[in-house]
Amino acid sequence: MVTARLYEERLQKEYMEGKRPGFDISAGDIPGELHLAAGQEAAAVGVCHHLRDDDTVTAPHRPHHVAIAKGVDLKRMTAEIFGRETGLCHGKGGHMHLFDPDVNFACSGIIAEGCPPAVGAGMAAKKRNSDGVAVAYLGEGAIDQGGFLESLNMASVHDLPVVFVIEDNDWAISMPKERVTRPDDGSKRADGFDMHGVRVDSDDARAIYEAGGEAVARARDGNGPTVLEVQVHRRMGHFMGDPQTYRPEEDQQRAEDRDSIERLAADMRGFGIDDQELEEIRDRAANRVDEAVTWAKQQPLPEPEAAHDHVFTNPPSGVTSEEPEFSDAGAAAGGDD
Amino acid sequence: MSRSDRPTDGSPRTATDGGAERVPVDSGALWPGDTDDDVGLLLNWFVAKGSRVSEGDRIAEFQVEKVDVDVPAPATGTLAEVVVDEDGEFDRGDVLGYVEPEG
Amino acid sequence: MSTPEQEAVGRTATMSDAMVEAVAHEMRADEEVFYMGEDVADYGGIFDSTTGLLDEFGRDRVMDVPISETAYLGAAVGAAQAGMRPIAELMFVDFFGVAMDQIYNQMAKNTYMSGTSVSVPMVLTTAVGGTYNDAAQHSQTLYGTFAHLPGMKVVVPSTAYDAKGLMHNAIRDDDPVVYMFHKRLMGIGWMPAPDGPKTPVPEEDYTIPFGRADVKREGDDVTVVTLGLHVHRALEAAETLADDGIDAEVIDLRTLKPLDRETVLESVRKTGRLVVVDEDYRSYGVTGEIVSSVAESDLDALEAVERVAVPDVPIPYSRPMEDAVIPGAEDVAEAVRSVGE
Repeated sequence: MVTARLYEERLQKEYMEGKRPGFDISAGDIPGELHLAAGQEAAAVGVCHHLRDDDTVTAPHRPHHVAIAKGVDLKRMTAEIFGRETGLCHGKGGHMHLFDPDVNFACSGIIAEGCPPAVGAGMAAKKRNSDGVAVAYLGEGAIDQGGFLESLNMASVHDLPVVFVIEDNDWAISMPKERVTRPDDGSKRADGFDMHGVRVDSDDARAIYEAGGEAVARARDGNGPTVLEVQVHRRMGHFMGDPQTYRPEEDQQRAEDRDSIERLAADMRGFGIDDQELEEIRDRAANRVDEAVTWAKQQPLPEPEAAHDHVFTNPPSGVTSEEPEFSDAGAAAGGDD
Repeated sequence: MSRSDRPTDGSPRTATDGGAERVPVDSGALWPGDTDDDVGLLLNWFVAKGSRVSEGDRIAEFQVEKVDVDVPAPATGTLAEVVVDEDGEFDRGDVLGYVEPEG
Repeated sequence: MSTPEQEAVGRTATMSDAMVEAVAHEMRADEEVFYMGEDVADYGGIFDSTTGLLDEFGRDRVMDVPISETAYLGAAVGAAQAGMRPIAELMFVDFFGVAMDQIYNQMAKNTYMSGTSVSVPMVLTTAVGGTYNDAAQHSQTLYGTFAHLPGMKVVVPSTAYDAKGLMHNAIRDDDPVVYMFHKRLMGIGWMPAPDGPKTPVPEEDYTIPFGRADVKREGDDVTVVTLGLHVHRALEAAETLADDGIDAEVIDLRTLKPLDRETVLESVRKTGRLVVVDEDYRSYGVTGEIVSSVAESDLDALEAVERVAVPDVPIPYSRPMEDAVIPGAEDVAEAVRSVGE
């Protein structure tokens, strides 16, 4: 969790450099949009710690904490965010479209878009008789999107090993949940599809870990899908550059106050872990982040012509590049009767 | 993007230079309340030097951090001088231009 | 780039100001006009499409909607068929995928399928375009996709003056209009626009007819046909070319449906040389349509032709690659030079 928090804070710093004067979104080392997940780490860690590399995770446009928790290659992920040739996607995808097939992680930019593919991964696991699990992350705004609802239905009908993790941070950009969504408890969507639904209201990473464990175990044991809604808090804006003028002061303050990392640290002290150990954890995390960013910045940018590569896996002619030749006079096609 | 409120104090201030009583377009009076940033970026002028302006009409806009600020004409008259051009940076309190009020 | 009449107006406005002005005017004039979309209320639109409207008109008429494009775009169709005049915003044109049935099978076809017994007087506004590193799912223009399918009028303003007139016409039109505005032309603080889109804009309302292209720069040597952001890149190229003694005529299509083929044809009859510039994918789109339109009307008039467009690849994230696929002013100039040989 600490790694994710420090990572997001570091990226914020790297992102904002080079954007001044004012704020020019396409300037600097990390151009384009950047959606950071500071404050939402517990939702990533609480579920992903129960997963194996061969379990599939899909995530939305705010993916870094989930990627870190899933074990994505942090150096190559960072290089991708910096648009380098040696990034996970050779600079093609950027921060919203990170793919790491080694740990079966993918994220994408259209709301709820990751839900159907997670259903598909669950389907593949079931067809192969493996006990693999698929997890789809989405925001509370995404539960209003048709693709999510269709995914729930399919997962339920086919009894698939899928966990849908709703990160409820109350805000869909500038739209607060109560203005656009019913009911208030998103896990109730599961009721409509005869599925298990559970909501964790607190910022207690251990409570989320417990609920995540139950949901993953349910899927792994072949007992079907779960909707797990987790209350989190968005400490930064929707995207870097968001002035958040729509967001009341108290709400922003609440995000600062309800810090699940601080809470977990307090719990750990209660278990006898001393401050020095906590410091060591932070130092290790900071080093890891620093290493990744330093490495990334040394990586080369792609050549402009590389834009034309990687459109297809097979060359345009498919598997074959030559027309078939039939020598027999009695051949079906091309014979001259 | 947000727009800051227009200043409630509408009284023009006068500048004393060479005897003409030109009214300064003052960035300080319009600065957004909740920012530590003291540097602004002038985004757009909506009238040119020599154009007629009416007090309160939006004549320019600038940006501080990520907040956009509308600049109203401080008096009715002519835009006599543009001090900060488009894309220009300036400090909090700098004068952006001058309006020559009609007598 | 403005005309003397436009200069006489005295005040300039950004493209977003001009659009909002038109919407506000129509909303004052008719209670049945309302705006719905994601983040259009308090936020004022992610790309400044509704700035200030919430304050004047309230939440009933400037509605934040759930992230449910199929539901709310379809709802706009229904409200329009009931006689209201909704303006529904698709935040990024790239999001059309989750709602295309309501767009192309309902909004675009109900008038026809009903033999005009129903009409769909709605406007579908949507932000288009790249050049700011937002990658494959947030940088498209998709002009060709929307122009290709029958039943929708499609407009693409490139200046504040055009934007206001086209918006008035779009809202008043009883047919569905897809109003595609380029993010980089809006005058947003965090995405600086080129110099061109901010023009004098009359205070009063006015309409610009659809199907009327605008010659933004007259010239005798080469016809450059384009739209949206690339009107400004073409004008920039024309300045450079003028130094080399090449006089380019730049035609801003302004509307894709209906398409002003006549203005293009007239120009090619004068110059003989055609360059079409498009920020959409090269194949099966706007460039092909313009070229074939001229070829089938007057093949003899066409001496040389060149298409400048985004290649058939998803838009890449990393800066060197995005810069390579989205045409720049130099690419336009190069194409003009090559048809001159």
